[in-house]
Amino acid sequence: MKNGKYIVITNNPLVNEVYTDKNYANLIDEVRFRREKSQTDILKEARDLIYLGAKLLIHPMMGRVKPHETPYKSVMLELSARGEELGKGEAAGGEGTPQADYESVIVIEDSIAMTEKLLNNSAYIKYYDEIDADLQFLDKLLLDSGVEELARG
Amino acid sequence: MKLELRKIAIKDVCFDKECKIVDGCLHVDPAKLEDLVLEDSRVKSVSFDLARPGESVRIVPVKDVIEPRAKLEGGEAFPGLFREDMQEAGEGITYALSGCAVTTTGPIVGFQEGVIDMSGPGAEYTVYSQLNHVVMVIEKQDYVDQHDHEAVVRLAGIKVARFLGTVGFDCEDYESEFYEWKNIGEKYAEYPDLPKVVYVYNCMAQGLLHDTYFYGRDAKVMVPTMITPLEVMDGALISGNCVSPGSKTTTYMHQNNAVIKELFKVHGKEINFVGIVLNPLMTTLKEKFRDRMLTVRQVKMLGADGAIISQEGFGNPTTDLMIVCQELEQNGIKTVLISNEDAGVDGMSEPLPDSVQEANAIVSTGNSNATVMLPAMEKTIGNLKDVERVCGGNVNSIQEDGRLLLEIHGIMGSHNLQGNTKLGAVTI
Repeated sequence: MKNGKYIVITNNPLVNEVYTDKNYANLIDEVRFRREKSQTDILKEARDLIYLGAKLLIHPMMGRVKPHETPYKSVMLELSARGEELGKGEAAGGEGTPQADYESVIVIEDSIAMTEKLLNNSAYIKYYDEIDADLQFLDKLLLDSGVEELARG
Repeated sequence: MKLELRKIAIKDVCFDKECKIVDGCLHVDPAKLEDLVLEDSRVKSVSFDLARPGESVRIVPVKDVIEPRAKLEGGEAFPGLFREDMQEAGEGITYALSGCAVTTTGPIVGFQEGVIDMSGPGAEYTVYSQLNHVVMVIEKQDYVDQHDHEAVVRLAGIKVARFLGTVGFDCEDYESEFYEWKNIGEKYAEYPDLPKVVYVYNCMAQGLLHDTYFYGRDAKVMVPTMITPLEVMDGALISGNCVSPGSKTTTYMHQNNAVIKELFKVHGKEINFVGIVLNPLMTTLKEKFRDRMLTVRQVKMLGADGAIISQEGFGNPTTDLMIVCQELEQNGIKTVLISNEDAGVDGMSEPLPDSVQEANAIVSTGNSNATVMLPAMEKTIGNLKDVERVCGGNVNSIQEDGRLLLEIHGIMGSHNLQGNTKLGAVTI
C-alpha cells in the first residue's frame, strides 16, 4: 500500500521522459532528474533521503549489467513527509526524527560500496555513444519491472 | 512419476537433404529448419551454420544454447510454449541429443550475449565448446520491437531444438537413464536416516533480457513454487536471459542442471533429495521479502535439514540469495550457496554486493573480472565486431593481430551458477 510520496531520482533522460508522463502520475509523484550527476551521486542522494526516513522501493542495482558497463542509474523511493522537512535544512535529531529503514540502509550502502569498487577496479569502463540509447533503455527496464510489481501490489 | 531419458551421443553434425542420425552424426536439412522458423511471421530471414569441437571457430554473440529434446510418450518437451493444452512434464520417455545444441545468435539490445570458442584457450573455459552446434542467425522484420525480438529468437531456438529431438526417435543407439520422483511421504519412508536436502533454484524475473519462463509463463508473475527435477529435464524451464554470458542460465543449463545431477548421484547414499523450490528473483524489496517468506516456508514444509541455493544474475539478486540463506540458517537449515565472484581484475576486492554472517558456506564458480587473451579464429559465426558490445568485451577488445582481450564473463557459461564449470576458488 502506498503511504507516502513515490519519487524517482535518475540521471537517465529516457526515464525522465517516460515517467514524467501523466499516465504514471498515480504511482510516481515526482521525477528528480539529475542529468549531469554520476550514478554514485544518484545513489548518495538516495542514501541521504533514506537516513531521513525514506524507503527504497526497488533494489538500486541492476540484475546483470554492472556499474562499469553503464553510466545510468535510477532509484525509486517512498519519502517520509517528516524526513523531507528535515531535509530542507531543519536540524535532525530529537523527537519526531524518523527512524531510518534498516533494510533500505543496508541495501543502499552495499550498493554504493559495490558501485565504487567496480568503477575503481575494473579492466575498463565502457560507455560510448554508439550504445547510449540501449544503455538508457536497459536502465529503464529495471525501473519498469519494479513499477509493474508495485502496481500488482 | 517416472522418466526414461534416452540419451543419444551426437559426435558430429552435417548438412544434408534430410534430417537423420547416422553413426552418431546428426544430419540436418537446413531447408526444413528454415520452414519451421519462418512459420513465425515476425522472422524476416534465418540462416544456419555448424560448429564442431576442436574447429577454429568463434560464435558471437550467443543468446541461448538448447539441447534438442523430444518426448516419445507422456506429453511434449518444452510444454506450455506452443500449445494451449499441456501435460505435466517429467513423465514417460524423453529423447535427448547429448553432445549437440541449437545455438541462437544475433544482437538484441546493446551489449549482451557472449562468445563461444570451439578450440584454443577460450574453449577450456566452457562446456559449450564440447558440443556440436547447429547455429541459427535470425533477422527479424523491421516492425518487431525489442521485447518481441527476444521472444522471436527464444521461441525459434526452442522450436528447432524440439524438432531435432524428434529425429532421435528412429535412432536405436541410445543409453537410458531412469529417474523416479516419489511423493514426500514415500521419500521420508525410503531413507529415514539420511539428511533431507532441498534445492532452492533461483531464477531471474526482472524484465526483458532478465527473464525465465516456467511452462511458458513469465516467472515475474509467479510466486516461489515447488517443482520436480524431472520436469526441469523435460524443458519446463526456458531461459529468456541475455546479459552476462559467463553466468547466465541458458536453457541447456536448465536441462542439464548440474546441481540436480549431483543431488541424484548422492541421493539414497549420503542424502535424501526431497525437493526443489523455484524462487523468482524480482526487483522490488517487497517482492524480495515476499519470495523469501514463501521460499523458506516451502523448504520448511518439505522438512529439510539442509539446502543448496544456486544463484542467477548479479547485483540485486545477491540480496535474494543472502536473505533466503539467512532465514534458512536461522530456522536451523544448513545452507550452502553457489555464486560467482566479481572481485575485480586482481581478484582482491570484496566479491559480492551483499552478504550476511549466516552465509558461511559458499561455493565459488570463479572471478568474472579475470581477463584472458584469446587467439584469432579462422572463422567467426555471427559478427566479431559485436565483441565490443558484449558483456566482458570493450572497444579495445579486438587486437590488431586478431586476438581478443576479454573478461571471462564474456565467455558463455564460464562460471555457470549451477556449477557446470571448470572454474572455482581455493583457499591459499
